[in-house]
Amino acid sequence: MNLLLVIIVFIGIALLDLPDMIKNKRWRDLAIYSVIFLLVFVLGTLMAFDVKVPSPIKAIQAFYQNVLHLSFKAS
Amino acid sequence: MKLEKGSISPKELMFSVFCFMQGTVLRSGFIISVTRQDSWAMAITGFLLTLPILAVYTGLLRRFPGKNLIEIDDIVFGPVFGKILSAFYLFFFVSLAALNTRDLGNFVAGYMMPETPIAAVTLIFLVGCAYTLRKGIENLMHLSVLFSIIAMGALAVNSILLLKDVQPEFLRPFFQLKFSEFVQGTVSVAAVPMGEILAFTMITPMLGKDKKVGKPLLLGLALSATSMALVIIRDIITLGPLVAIVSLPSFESMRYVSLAGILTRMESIYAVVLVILFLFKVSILLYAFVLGLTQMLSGKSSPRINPDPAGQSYEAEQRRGRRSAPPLVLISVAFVFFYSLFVFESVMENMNWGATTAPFFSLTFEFLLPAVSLLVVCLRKIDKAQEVRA
Repeated sequence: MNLLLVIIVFIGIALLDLPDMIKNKRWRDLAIYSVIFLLVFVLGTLMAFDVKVPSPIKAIQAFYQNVLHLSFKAS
Repeated sequence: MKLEKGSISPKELMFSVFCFMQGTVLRSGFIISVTRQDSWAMAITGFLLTLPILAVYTGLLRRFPGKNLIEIDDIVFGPVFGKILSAFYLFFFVSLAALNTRDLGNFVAGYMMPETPIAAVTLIFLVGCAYTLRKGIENLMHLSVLFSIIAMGALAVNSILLLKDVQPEFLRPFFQLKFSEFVQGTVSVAAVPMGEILAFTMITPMLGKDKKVGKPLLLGLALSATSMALVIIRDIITLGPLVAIVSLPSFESMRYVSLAGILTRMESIYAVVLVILFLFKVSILLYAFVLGLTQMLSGKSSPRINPDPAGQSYEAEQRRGRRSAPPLVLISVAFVFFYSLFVFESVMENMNWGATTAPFFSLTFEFLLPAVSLLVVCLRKIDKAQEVRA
């Protein structure tokens, strides 16, 4: 069900964004757009399958606390 | 959506800064849990600590009038290292957008609609942000005056209705903070709500080259600091010791409002205002991210980041010799939606991040990197004239 929703949303985004680029033959833009589109679609698909995606914010928190030793004490 | 010079006024920029920060000001729990009854003073000390940060932004923007942060990076550090630095800023903007979206989801799903999945709340919210961006950020900026009046009006009405429940002695004893708590409170206020005006360095070129950016940013910050101090004082004298325990003191204060048993549930007004302000803030952050990403990918300044479907603007732009850019608004909004879902697994993780690491993370982007840019500009004596010659 989640995957179906993700696919429907991404088809909607493509329908809104692609026609202008294709009509005006903006192939460079289309190539860049396709790469970004695919990356975000893969992320959405992973989340639809309940795959645990690591949060960059948690990695940053560990880096600041354990490597840089920059953090306040939790109240 | 096109970045047009001179399309907003300094007054609109000032009120935009106020609206941008008011969303965080109304969630003052992150600071009150640390500095308790002295938290109102942190609004003032935090504002004072933000002044050097603002001076750095103003210094950069004055040396490169009409340029935004990403364009300045390209000029100062060159196309390769400049883009690497810009990528860090973009990560900061998109992370702030995701974190604020998550905060909005936590608030609505936690306090207003507990049966609704957080994904449904954030999705509807981000559709609103996408609509705002497609209609043009300058329209949102024009509305900032109205949003500010609504926010200040709601604050004033709610505060007046709470007058019968307040106990000013809850403010005492004054200034019993440890030095470490004072530093934590001041740095947190300066970095988390106030320093986030970094996003406006992507928008200030809309003022036009002849307008000064420092004054509206400073006045917007001063207005926000005043509002923050008043909101915190109101919450402290209403809730007393309870203020340090609850996560949303302003929301809990509103629950006390009861006028003859008829006028109750005023927290719903707070919720509506908070959602509007969240929409304002996330839209600005998304705009900063999308504009920066578009400029990085197109390699040109001020590209069109949302071409109209008819393609007429594109043809006109081609005739002017500008390179176009892919439309990235919707796909960026989709990314922020997914990012907001996996950024934290629980509210406690989110609160721990905000209390311990977020100020240092934010200051890296809000102060350290811009200060290094300004230092390089000063040392290499780069200015607008040199950039034009290049």
